[in-house]
Amino acid sequence: MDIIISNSSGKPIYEQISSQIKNHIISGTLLEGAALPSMRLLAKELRVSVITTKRAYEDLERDGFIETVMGKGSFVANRNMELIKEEQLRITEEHLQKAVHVAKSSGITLLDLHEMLSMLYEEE
Amino acid sequence: MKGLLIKDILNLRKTFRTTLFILVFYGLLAYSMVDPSFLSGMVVLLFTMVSITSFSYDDLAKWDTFALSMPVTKKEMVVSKYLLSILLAVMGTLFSVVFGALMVLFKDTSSISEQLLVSYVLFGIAILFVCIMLPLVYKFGVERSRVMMIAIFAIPTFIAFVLNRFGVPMPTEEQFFLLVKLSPLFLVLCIVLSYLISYKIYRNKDM
Amino acid sequence: METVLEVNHLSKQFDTFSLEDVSFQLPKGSIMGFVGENGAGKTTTIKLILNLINKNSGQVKMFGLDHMKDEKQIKEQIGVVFDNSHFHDHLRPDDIAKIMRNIFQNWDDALFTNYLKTFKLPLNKTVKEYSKGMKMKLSIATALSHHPKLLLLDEATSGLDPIVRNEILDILLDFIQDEERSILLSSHITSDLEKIADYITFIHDGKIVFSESKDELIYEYGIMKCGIEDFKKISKSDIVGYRKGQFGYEVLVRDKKEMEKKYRGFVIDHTNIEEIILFHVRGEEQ
Repeated sequence: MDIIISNSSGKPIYEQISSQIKNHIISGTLLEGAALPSMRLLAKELRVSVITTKRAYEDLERDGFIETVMGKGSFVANRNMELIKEEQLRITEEHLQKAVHVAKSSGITLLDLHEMLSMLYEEE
Repeated sequence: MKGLLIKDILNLRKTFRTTLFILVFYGLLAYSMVDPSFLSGMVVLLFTMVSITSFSYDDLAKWDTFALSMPVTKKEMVVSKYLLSILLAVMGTLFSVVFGALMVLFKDTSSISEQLLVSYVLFGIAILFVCIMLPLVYKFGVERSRVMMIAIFAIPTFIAFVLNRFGVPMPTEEQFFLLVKLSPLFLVLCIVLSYLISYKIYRNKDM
Repeated sequence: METVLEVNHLSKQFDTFSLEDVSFQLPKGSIMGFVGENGAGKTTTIKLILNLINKNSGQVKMFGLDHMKDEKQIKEQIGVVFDNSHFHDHLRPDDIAKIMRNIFQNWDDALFTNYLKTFKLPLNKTVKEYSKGMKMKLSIATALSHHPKLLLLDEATSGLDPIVRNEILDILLDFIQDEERSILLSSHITSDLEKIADYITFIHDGKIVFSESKDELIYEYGIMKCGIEDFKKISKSDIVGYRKGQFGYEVLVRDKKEMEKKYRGFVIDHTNIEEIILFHVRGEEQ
């Protein structure tokens, strides 16, 4: 599992960590029940504070992606398809929002956009 | 405290070797002389000075600050130095006894009992030396104390000289033996008093 | 959150310098960077905690025990590393082990040998023949080999090259993998602290300026840059410290998000511990 954080990005590091782990879970790199590295090990490897990794894990647990067992560590929660779908929907909407924004500001019509979308979907 | 003594012994390995060399050198020198009895006194003095050297080593390494960050109390620090000094004085005295025996054997100067008495007196002087030196070292540090020691040795010598000049009689044999009998108690008292002073000084020191 | 080290209103007066009302807590399982410029009082504070210097007032607790009443018990469980090696020149590692074996109840010879091997410290050389970095690693090996729960390091990385410093930071991070252990690391090398500290306590002129989580410091503080005229528009209460340049002002502000809203259009940059400290100190002078 790779986790790459950027110190110069505006996004707080704990957010970077939690969203990357989320992606790994969604994409299947991290399977159900898989053990996550301990907060301390992650902190050491990424050269960040243990408070940061703790926060990231807390957020992941709050969002239902992982479960923390006292004394044992953190594990990927049972795949909750609902949650995952929700997340994917959200990301897709984000991207579409951007496309709409650009289209509107350059005079591209909704019809054009529709066509583009169908073409792209069929291509893949 | 055992650890502290081990530390001193390990540090003083080199010093011991040097001291033994000096002894051998002076021993040979003494053998060639008519009256080699100065060696007895020298032995005791040399060994006792070694304990002062241990303070020097500690200063150089800034050992005290570090030692007190470990489970070592200031009391243990002071007690270990007194123990070391007394042990060294005993060692020096043993050497002087051996030397005294050799003198009786080879030089036929005096009796064993006389030599033993001389060694004991020297031991007593060494202990007094320790009792005066250690509080000075704790208060003023090794370098300044060394200078003070010269003065301290000079004073009784001077007094003895003056007394002698003015015809004050030396103690009789009876008086002398009385003093010898009372001395162990006196020495113990000196050690205890000296230790209490040293500990008080050391306790109030900021490291 | 359990506190492993509690310092309450510690004070000490010297002729030319005094430590006033120093208080902070080190939560168990974390690394606290104790930072301040040379002469600010870091070493004095640590010496007071260790009862090496007689305090004037205040209270110190470690593992819930009083630092004077339960001194020996506490010192069995802490490892201390000072900035210079305190071993006599002619000692070798096995000599040191002989001494330590008889000082610490929990001294672990096998662990010490293991550290010596890991740190690549030559066993047949004396302390005198060790380089500065090696001396420091030897001190750390000694401090770690009696299974301490709390490590106190006073400027342990100063004067070492970046490679050795990094090795030492790694050693400290390894130590803290066990969450029963904690570290107080005093340093004026803020980049080291940025790498490993969870909390930062800043001392200046014998007083504690702040003691908080490093993340909060980095996320919340910012450097606002503005022109000379604009500077006058900034309310005094928002200025933590400032630096006047020839072509504008740099202002240290707290609560970056708030400031971004309040002073729209002003450039607000990310900052680091070194700058936060500089601005706190310089801001005072101005």
